[in-house]
Amino acid sequence: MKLLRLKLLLGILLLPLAALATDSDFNGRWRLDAEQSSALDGWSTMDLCIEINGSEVTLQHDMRWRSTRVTETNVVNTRESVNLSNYFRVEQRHMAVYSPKKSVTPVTAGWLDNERTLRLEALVPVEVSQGDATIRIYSEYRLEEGGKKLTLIELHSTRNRPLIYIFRKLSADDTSRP
Amino acid sequence: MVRSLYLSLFCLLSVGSFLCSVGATPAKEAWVMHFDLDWKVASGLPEKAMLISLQGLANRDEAQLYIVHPPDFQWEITEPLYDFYKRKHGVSYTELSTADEALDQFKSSTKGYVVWDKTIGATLNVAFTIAGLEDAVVVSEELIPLVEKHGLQKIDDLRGRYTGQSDAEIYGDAIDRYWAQCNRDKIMLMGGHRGRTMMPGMADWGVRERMFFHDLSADPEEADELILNRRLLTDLNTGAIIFGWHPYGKDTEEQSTMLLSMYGLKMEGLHNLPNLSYNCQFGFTPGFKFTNNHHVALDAKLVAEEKVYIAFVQSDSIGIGVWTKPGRGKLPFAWQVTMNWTAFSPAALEYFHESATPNDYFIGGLSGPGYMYPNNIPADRFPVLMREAEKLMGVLDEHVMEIMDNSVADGNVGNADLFEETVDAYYKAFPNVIGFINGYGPARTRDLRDGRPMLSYDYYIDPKRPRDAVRDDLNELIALNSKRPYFLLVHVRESNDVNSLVEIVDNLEGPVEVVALDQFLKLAASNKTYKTRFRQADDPEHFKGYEF
Repeated sequence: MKLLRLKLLLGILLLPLAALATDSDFNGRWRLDAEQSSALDGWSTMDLCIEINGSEVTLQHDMRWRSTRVTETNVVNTRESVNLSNYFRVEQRHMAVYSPKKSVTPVTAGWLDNERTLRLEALVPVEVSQGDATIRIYSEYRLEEGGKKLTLIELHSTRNRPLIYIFRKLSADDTSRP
Repeated sequence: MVRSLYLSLFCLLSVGSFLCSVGATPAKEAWVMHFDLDWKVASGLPEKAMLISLQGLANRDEAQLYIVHPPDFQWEITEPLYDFYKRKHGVSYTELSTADEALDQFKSSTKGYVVWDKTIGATLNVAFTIAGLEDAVVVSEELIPLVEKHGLQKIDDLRGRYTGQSDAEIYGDAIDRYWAQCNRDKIMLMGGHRGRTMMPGMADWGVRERMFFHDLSADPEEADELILNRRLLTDLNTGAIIFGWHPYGKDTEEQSTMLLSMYGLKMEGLHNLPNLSYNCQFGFTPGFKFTNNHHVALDAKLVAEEKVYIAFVQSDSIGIGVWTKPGRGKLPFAWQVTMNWTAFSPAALEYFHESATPNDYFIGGLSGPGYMYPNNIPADRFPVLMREAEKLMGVLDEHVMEIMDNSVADGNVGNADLFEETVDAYYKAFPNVIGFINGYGPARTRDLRDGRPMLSYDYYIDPKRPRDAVRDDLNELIALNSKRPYFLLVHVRESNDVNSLVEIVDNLEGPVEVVALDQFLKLAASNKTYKTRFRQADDPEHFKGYEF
């Protein structure tokens, strides 16, 4: 009974935060500004579609390589760690680094800077020529004031320099794809 | 000993076959034209097409006309090779500055002209087919007065014949009319650039050899064209060669190469490779023998240290690569040789060998005695083709075979792996190589048998990728493959420059050593830190292939 009350209280306290996130400027379709970003490799263009529903954040990657289109989605939760099969990373496709067929990627997420920054930390299993390995990827999705620009900073445990992707928000009636 | 006698005999037969095909020593007096880079249908193409058809006819019985292209043409070697012919074969050239001069010089080689329709690209291919069969030059209508000025008569006129017809209808008609008379050992897939720019640089060879020209699609989505394409492939003689290149925008290189491989045929490209009608008539200079820059003996045993070993390979045919650019020789580099050039362009191979630095190492490929995808070669044709490849590697003094199968890849990304039975077949077919390398983009086929590794590319250097990003990618691979030694095989796309690679190598992290490919494979044989893997049935496939 005591536990139930505690849960209710916690729910009431978190409700405004969840509602705030649902109306977030993060929501919508974002298009990569390739000129300002780290170079993609094996991808020509990228859109990022973000949808926040309570503590659940859906990150849909709409990728294009020549005539090939790939859409992959990661759903993370800012309240709890999730284990994602088929976790999608914006990989450098000219490297022999593959996703193992049966693998699970633990991902933690959270809000920072008054919900202006979404933080993700993922332990991504990969297959390389010597066998299995793991890349720890720390990502911050930083929303610029005005809500028109999104900066994704991605730091790999296996890279000494971050990958930085800049996105511009598309208007709600823009249904174009990359 | 038996093997070396066999190879010597093969060399003699090869040279003999050149002489037989020529019937005489190549001419010491010849003519040269210099082309510009304008291949637009609306401007430069029509005259070039006419001159290239004329070249094929002029060179039919003896080597008379050579074309030099600007240094930034895809095939950069035409000028160096021109110098080579003068220097090593003693050829004296007279410059022909205009089409008028060329027609004046060689009009006796032609019996007339055939008119193609500039608004229907496929008619140029039909015209080239007729040109080979009827000894004609191809002209668009504005060139008719020029050829008639030289007394040439109209043999055929395609204007209006194919108006409103699809490519399938046009080629269907051309097959009915001409295929029975065409060469069945060679066919010209004159694809490549289409639309406003066309680049039929290889047409001289097709005209000389009376080939059927087409640019039919290999895409199953274009079933009407695919049916005709397959009919032509079916009709070819066993062991035939498809010259040219797949048509851009109609199908993909992967589809086209997969299709011809399924028939046990091989590809020799590209569509714009110039001067084969001339080059084919020269053998090697007297006393010339291929001597590769081996760094280890075939039976050598090396021991790898605890470091990262890197080997660089360029496989897009050395004639279109960085060979003529500054920086070559600063790093050990392996170059995949187009082995069939022993028959079609021996002087080009001799030129490459004579200008090689100690850091340049030649390897065989691609997949066999021509460009083909081995996962798709019929089992009964595989040993025959690989015997041919092994002989060519013997002539060229090559100890490493490069394999590529992109049939289910997506350009230079995706699945480029070999089935285990394909790997088995290579080990069986090439008992005397140091090892094999596989891929184009990255791949993960790896094995080690009898001290001979098969390794795939761990990295492909896209020439457009910023150099600092290439450095970071390589450093990430080094971090992920943390056991030492780590064997990092890198494919260098042809338009990269070597100087930028030197800088990248200087900024890699860890105990890194760049070694020649033969050393690399011997070192990889000494400590297998890589996992054995073959293509698996549930690996991703971009193209689902063909149904027989």
